[in-house]
Amino acid sequence: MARDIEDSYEWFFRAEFPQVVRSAYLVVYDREAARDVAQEAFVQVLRHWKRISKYDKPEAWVRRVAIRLAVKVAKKQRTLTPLIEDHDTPATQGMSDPDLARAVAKLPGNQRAAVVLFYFEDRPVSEIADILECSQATAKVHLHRARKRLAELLGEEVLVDVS
Amino acid sequence: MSLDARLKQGLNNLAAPIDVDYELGLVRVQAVARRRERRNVMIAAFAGAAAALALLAGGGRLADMVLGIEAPLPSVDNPNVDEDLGVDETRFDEEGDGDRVVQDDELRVDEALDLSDPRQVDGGRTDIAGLANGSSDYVSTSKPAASETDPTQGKQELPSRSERFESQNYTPVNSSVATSGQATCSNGENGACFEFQARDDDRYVTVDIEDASGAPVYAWVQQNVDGDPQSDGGWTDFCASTSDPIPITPGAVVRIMLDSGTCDGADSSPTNGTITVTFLNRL
Repeated sequence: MARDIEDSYEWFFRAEFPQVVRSAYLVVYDREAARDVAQEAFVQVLRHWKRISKYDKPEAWVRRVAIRLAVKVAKKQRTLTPLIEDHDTPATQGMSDPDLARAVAKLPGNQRAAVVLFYFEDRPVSEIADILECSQATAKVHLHRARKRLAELLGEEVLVDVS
Repeated sequence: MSLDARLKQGLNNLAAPIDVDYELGLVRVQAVARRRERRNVMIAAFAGAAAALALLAGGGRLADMVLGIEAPLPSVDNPNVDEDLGVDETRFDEEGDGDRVVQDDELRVDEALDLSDPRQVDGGRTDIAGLANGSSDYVSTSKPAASETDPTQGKQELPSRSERFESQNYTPVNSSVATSGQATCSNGENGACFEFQARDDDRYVTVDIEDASGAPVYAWVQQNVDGDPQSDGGWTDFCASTSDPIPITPGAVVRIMLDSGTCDGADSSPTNGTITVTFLNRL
């Protein structure tokens, strides 16, 4: 039985870890920090795996922890250092859309997390609310404000709001 | 292209180049989880023993004071919740059974009972940082940072505890070097050498070595502080895992040396495996 639990955790880890690292990166914009965040989240999952493995959506649990940690890191970065300058830097070299990267980096932590979960992970608003530990109305507000801010920064028009 | 389409495509392109070595990640996660489990067992044992002694010595009130260390703390609205990315625990109350969300403060209380804190443990152990800074003893008690004890500075709050981990794999080639007495380090020292860069706020290190054979591997830890090929100061040897966090010089390279030696009464025979180093900013 213990072996089954270990195997199921390894299977879960392999299935979810890469995506969690990438999602964390899109929130913190730092590869090392993203890996630290993802690893910390999976350490916590491992400690409670016997229970979490029985949930309908254990992937939501690990994302809740990872995104929460990532938002904390992102808040600290916002206060202490600019993430990406308003001109091309080594950080934006090679990016296909550096303007987008800079614009998303300027969003507050929760708005950035909502954008990542909605556009990168294709999650519905109900799951975003669950992961961000807020109401669905609040999740929609995060998305609405994020899209409005991004449109201003990128000179784009917001045509349709999220449902 | 609409904003939505641009966001979708742009974020996917941003994240795509991020390399993820999940094998290495899995080993790291398992090593850290095991270490924390060992620490929690020690803390629970200490708290239980302290409560039992208090009951014998002073009766219920003293025992309550001891056990009160583990009393629940305020939850998510606690304004003292640390915002740093530190050791954090959350529980998802999906079952609706009243699980509370545990914040950083609770762990800070638990860490007050951490037996690996040299200030709470009698005797000395190798202090790499002290030795690298010129101490002549190979065994000394680690001193707390000046800001924590200098009375002229008043009582200062400790930073929240954080840890990060890094790993490197070793191969049978490294292992043969380790056991043959040949050298791979530029300093000419025997053994297979693996270097990890400490950051400016890394003050302690622990090491775990997972060998594919399952057997413990002999190794030792040292630092290169001044950047020349030679390692500096003292060293700590161990089998498989270091027993206590080792003080280090922040910002300097930490060297882990696989070497020939004896573990559990048998010659250490590394095959291939992973070295995981955990850096801590405080105990």
